[in-house]
Amino acid sequence: MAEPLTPDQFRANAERIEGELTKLIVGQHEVVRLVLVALIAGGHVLLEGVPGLGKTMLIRTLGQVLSLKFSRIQFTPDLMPADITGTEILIDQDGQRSFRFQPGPVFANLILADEINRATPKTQSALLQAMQEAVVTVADTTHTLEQPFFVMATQNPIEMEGTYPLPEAQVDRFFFKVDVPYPSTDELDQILERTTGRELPQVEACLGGEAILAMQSLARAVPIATHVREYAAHLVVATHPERPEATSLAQKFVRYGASPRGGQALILGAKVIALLSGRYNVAFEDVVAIAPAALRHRLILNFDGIAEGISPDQIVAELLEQVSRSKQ
Amino acid sequence: MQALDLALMTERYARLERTHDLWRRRLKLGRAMRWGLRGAILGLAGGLAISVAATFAQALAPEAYLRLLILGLGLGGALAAALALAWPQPPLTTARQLDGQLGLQERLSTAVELRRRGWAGSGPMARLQLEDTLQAFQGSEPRAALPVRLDRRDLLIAALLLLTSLLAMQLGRPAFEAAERQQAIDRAVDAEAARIEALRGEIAEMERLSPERREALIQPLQTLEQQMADAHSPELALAALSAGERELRELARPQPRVLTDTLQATGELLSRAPDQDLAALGAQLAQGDLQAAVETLRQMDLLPSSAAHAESQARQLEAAAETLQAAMPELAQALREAAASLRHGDSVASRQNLASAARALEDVSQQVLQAEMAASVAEALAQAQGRLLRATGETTEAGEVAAQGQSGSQSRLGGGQPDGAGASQGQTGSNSSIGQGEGGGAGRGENAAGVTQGSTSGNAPIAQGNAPGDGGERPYQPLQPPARLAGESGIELALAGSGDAGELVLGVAGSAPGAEGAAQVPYTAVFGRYEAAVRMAIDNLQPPAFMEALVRQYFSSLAP
Repeated sequence: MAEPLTPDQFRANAERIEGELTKLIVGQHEVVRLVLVALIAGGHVLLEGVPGLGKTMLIRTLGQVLSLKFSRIQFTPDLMPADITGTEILIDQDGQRSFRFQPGPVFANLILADEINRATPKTQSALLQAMQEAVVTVADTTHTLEQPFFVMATQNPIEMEGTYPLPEAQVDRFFFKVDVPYPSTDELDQILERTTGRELPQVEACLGGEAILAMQSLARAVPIATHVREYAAHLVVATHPERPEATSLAQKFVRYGASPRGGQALILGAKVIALLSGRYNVAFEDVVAIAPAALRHRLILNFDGIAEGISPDQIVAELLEQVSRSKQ
Repeated sequence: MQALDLALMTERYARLERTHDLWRRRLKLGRAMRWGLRGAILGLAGGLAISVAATFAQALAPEAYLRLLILGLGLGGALAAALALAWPQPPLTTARQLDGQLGLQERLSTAVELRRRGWAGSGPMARLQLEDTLQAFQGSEPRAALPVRLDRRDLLIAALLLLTSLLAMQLGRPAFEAAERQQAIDRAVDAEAARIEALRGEIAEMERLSPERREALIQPLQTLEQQMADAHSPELALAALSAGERELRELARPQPRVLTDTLQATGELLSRAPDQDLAALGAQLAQGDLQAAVETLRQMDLLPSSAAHAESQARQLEAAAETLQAAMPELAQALREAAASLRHGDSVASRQNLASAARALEDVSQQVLQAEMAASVAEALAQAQGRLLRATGETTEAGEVAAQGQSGSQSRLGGGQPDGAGASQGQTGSNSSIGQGEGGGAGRGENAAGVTQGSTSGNAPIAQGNAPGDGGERPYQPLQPPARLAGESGIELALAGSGDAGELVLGVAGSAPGAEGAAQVPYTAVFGRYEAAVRMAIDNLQPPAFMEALVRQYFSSLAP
């Protein structure tokens, strides 16, 4: 049995991954950090941003850095569920015909579900079971996916025509939803410099699946004080408009609040953040740091919220401002 | 977790706990100070509210006001601080507090919780967490992170409250002065009540008086004590004293000096008698030794040697009876009957009549004693009224001086002394003037601030001659007792007293018409009518209650 990972090794691994990623990804430190956190916490990430911001590159680079089996699924309207999960194919061998399961692209460690909202809900739902249970059932046979299993989906928020917004159940399965911001001028300048030269930066594979699993295991061991955990729970509860603890914006503009998965994401993400910060316990600030990414996609706005252009981030910001830590 | 690790962690946690305890005490101290100040603010506010209410109700002197404020401040502060010190603060609570204040990022509270769980299921992470906490905790600077200081807002509130207290004290000065006056009056009333109690005690121990007569004297004093205890104003106290004095004056009737002087005059008359027994009796009476006189009279056995001697003794007795007739008719009657028995030569009847005379004399003796005591107590009560009036006047005077400039006109009641001392009613706009004072101060009383015109009556003895319209400016003519009550044709009288005002004037013969302008009626006879009229006026509440004592004092000074 391998030696358990130490927190120092944990941090060193994380720094190596980040270091390799930043060779190709300019800026976007917050995005890189959140993707890394989700990977270590064992969750999936939905990246949202306009085209050309490096979403796909980030995930593809991550696949290279981790030397894991990587597959990319380009979601299109005609993509079928079997195109994702795989299917039973008829094999004619030595005069005998039999069905054999042909695994789809979901059978990989790192899945890039590019432009996930372009596929039909039926196809999108093909990912549901895989994302939550890391298994795929095809023709009454359940196939277990190899660990680590990490889905990174991207979606474009501006080209809404011909898209199928992700159903709430599927959105909830994403650990984080990360908004990819447009780079600053300096960052853009660096991007131009790096990508228009003769030589492109090369990344090295530095970690395997075992290391990621060890990091996931260590992160779960980080202790959390009761009042911090209660704080996370209060944050989640306060997003529900029917609850007395709900904040004013949540009461006015939220149709459905965050699910318990939101709370889990807050705690697990905060644990990873704590370790990455060199601490061995979760602090309030760790929860606060990942709260927008963990909650924004879990807040379903009502008509008023959509009509008034309220963003979930505004509601989360109010939550963080109003939910008291001292009561915890 | 291995045993070695557990021991190590226990040791590390003990270090952490020591530091934690140290800082918990600092937190507690800071909390006690903050809550002490808040308690002091609350106490001060409460004290201020009560003080202000009591001040405006004129029930608080400035010292009491300050005491109340200081008490509220101190008590509130001490109680709140003690409560804050005693209030239990579980380690986890203080750990969370310290996490926040020292920026420990929940390290300490996590460590405390892990320790509570016995580090179960935490593995190596618990040890790392504990060491990290210890390092972060010990690296903090408590003096900088946990300064023991008071909340600026609380300090500001406290300062505001103190300023308000001082302002209220300044504004409440007139009320304080009124309260002080009231307290001075209360003290005077209490002092008089104590004197009355002492007097009652003296009477109770007076064995020369019969129990019935003692009780007769004690009973009004007891009533008076009760009334004094219930008196909530000087007017009520004065009214009670006045009523007590009146009752005791009744008990002192006839005036003891009338009785003793009559007996003395009789004694002097008898002492010139040729009969030795009668002369001895007369000497004892003249000396005022009534007990000896009673014994002498009781044992007297007049045995006349001849009819002429009997006639002489009878005449002496009759002369004595004549002297006593007005004041002591029963004794006079017994002596007359004894004289008649002597004339008839009935020695047995004579002895019996003399024994009756002895009993009557003994009764007179008790009566004199009771009357003397009653007069003395009544006089004491009159003096008490005077003192109370002076106390009332002094405190009012002080109040008036302080309040000068606030009211343009004040009426003044009380002594018409030039310095204006007296009881003041404070009625504005009254210019009527009654009474007068020594030195012709009727209706005019000057004090340091000037002349105050008002209704003024003197509390000093005032002689007659205060004719209406005089305005008190004409000098009084002193009242003099007549030198010869029965006029030119009257019997030569030995008039007692010096003729000074208030001195007893005793007539020993009936009145007779005299020359025009000369006194024809004994002063004692007219005084009774005057006094009765005054008493009736007082009973009908014609003079104000607080004037009653003054009026009574005036007539007491004129009493024969």
